[in-house]
Amino acid sequence: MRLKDRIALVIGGARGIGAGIAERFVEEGASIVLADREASAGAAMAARLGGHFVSVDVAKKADVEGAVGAALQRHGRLDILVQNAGIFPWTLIENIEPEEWDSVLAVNLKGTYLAARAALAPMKARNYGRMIFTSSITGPRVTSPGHGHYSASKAGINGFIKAAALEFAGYGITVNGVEPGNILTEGVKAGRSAAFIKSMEDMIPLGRLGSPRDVANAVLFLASDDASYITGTTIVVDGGQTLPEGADFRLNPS
Amino acid sequence: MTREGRLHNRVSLVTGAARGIGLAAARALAQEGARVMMCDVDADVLQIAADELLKDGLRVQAARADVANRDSMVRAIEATVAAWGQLDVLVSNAAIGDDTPFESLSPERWHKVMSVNLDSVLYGAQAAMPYLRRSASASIINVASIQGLRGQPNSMAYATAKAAVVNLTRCMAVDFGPLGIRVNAVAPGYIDTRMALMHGDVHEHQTDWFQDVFIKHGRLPLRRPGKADDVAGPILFLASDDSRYVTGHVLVVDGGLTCTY
Repeated sequence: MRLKDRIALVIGGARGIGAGIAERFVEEGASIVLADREASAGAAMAARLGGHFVSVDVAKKADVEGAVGAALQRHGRLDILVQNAGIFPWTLIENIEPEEWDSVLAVNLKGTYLAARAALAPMKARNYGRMIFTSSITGPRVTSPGHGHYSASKAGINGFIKAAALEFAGYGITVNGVEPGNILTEGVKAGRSAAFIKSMEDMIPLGRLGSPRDVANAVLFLASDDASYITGTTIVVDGGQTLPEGADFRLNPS
Repeated sequence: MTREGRLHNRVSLVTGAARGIGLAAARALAQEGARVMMCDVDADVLQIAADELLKDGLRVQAARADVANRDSMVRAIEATVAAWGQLDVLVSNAAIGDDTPFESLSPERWHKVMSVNLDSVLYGAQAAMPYLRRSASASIINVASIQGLRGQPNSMAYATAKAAVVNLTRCMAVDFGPLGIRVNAVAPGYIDTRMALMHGDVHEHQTDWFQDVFIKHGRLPLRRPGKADDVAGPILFLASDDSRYVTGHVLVVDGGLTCTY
């Protein structure tokens, strides 16, 4: 049990990657508080995992503080913070209105800063903490049309991870992130043909899309004692997708 | 031990396993159930290290190997397969330190550093390939360095070799991905090992300069040099199924050093 008796808050845990993280944490002995904007899905997931649910809009300071407060009230401390909530509308830059830009940055980037700030005081008080943020390969490494705001928000998270790592290091808190590639979540599966999914797989050296559990395992590592000397960095979980210049690596005769 | 380890039924070979990061990695892998062939060029120290692990009930063997010599690596890997019938995890860790200034960097020294620190990574992978292809959970972990990601004074040979290890890791990941073999690297920062010993046997991390700049003034955010065990955990992660969708990644293990300037 690699997270025995640890208290974790997972924001954006109702489904997909966040739910995978919460589930993996529970398997390894942690108690979780699960927070999400989607109350019914979030409450159901929390109930399934034996955790507590809090409804939050991660872009709102009071909501995020309330989620941290709920963890403290129930468990008396907070050891691990995961901020995974994110939105990814598809819009070309020429059509992104300021309101849409602001909403993406508010959830993905401002939400990350608000979560870090809210969790800081209780972690600082105990001189221990693990913060793990879900970034993406989209932004920090690569991008595609329609992801202007999303890319900016995720690249922003990587910069924030370094800054927070530096400022919190003296309090025994490490700050890291994961950069998932194409993960086969319900959202990705919906509306895509098998042929299109196959074309996505062909671009990935490991030959498949990722699963929420693949990402959860990397987050678990960063939350565990094995990662004590790691701070201010990210782990790319993409099956090698961002390595080759193009999909022609499969022409390799080996 | 009732729990099945995370490397249950796996066989691993670790180079540079007589001391430091290699020894810590060998112990960590063996503690998770792997059978580990410990290799080093320094046979006497290696045997003492292997005996320690055996005494703790871990399943290891020792084989002298010169990583810069391809035939020697082939023999070490054949010995591993002869002992345990398979090979799943290769940890290419062996390396030599070098801080020769530019003016005195001879062709011999340059080639020596490239040979031990870079050629070894290629030779190890080539020798292991026939067996890794047959493994359902094959993983290669190369020990690079944050010096391979930055420019460092008096480190032309060492840092260049490590930078090449970083990109060799990426290229191998792309070529071997379709074969189901993952290839990753760790990039350690300041770690308390023999390599931090400077000329005259002064330990770099004990100098007033290091203590003042890196610890007191926090240039090293976590305010302590790492221990070999701090790198063994990340190597274990990359060796295990926990990283089954991670390949071509360079995992920085530096206490936050490279997130500031």
